[in-house]
Amino acid sequence: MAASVIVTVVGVVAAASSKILADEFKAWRPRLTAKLVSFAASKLPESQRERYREEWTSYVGEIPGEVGKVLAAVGLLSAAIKIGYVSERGSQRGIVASGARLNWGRIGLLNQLGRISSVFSSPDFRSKYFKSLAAYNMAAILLMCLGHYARHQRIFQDGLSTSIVVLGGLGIVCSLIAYWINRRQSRRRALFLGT
Amino acid sequence: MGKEAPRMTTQTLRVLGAFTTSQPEELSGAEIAKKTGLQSGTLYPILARLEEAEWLESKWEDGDPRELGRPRRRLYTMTGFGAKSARAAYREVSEMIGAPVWQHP
Repeated sequence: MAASVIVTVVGVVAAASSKILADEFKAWRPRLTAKLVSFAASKLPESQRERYREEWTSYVGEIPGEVGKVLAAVGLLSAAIKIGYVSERGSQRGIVASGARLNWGRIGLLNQLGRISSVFSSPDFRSKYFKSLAAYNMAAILLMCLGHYARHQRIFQDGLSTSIVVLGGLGIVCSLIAYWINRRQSRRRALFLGT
Repeated sequence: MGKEAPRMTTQTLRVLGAFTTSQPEELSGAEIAKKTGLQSGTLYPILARLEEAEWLESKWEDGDPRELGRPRRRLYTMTGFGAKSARAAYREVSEMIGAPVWQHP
């Protein structure tokens, strides 16, 4: 009996709270989306900020549903980082080729994280990254062998052999990953043309 | 005319398709999002790239926001050059994937 009363009371309180929370969310949503849109626009080059602030305010207004509007505004942050990144560098390919020199000066943390993730998500960069790892592994093995030989006039010894096997294995795996990334990217380029 | 061709992805093709298969010819960002099913984070960089390559152009809609009772929208239209380039891109993709696998060299 007591348990059912408690459950009923909890149910009523939960229903009332959810209504209050929903009303609060509806009341705060316009301010939240306006802040998100302004924040996103601030990540753009100065010449584009005003235009996109107005355009995105209108865009968010056309999205149905309160949650949909907030999600759309959050998505604009990613759009702003990509647009600003591409505008400043001319092309994403150019960014990867330049080794992704990052401007730490006036760019905020979020923009910087967006740039870093854009660089790491590029297949060209990932391929080069794994190729570099493979090369470093091979170079490390060679240096270890030379150093050991210089000291002990012989190359193979238990601990060293293990290190060589591990590093060599890592190098091979990295090379295979780089090869796979390159092959996948070549297939995509052949399919979608001009990339 | 136009700058370097934009990167062709399935999402870019979808955006181009929204223009080549729609009436009226002027579309706002939200209308394009509805037609293509793309989220804002994907759509707007594509629109920016296409506009930079002069395949699309945009302008503000006519009317004062105060009279309209809402912010004015940015309307996108495909340029002549963009239409020609989009058709060429679709043709090339169709040619590449249209032939059965056993006919590929």
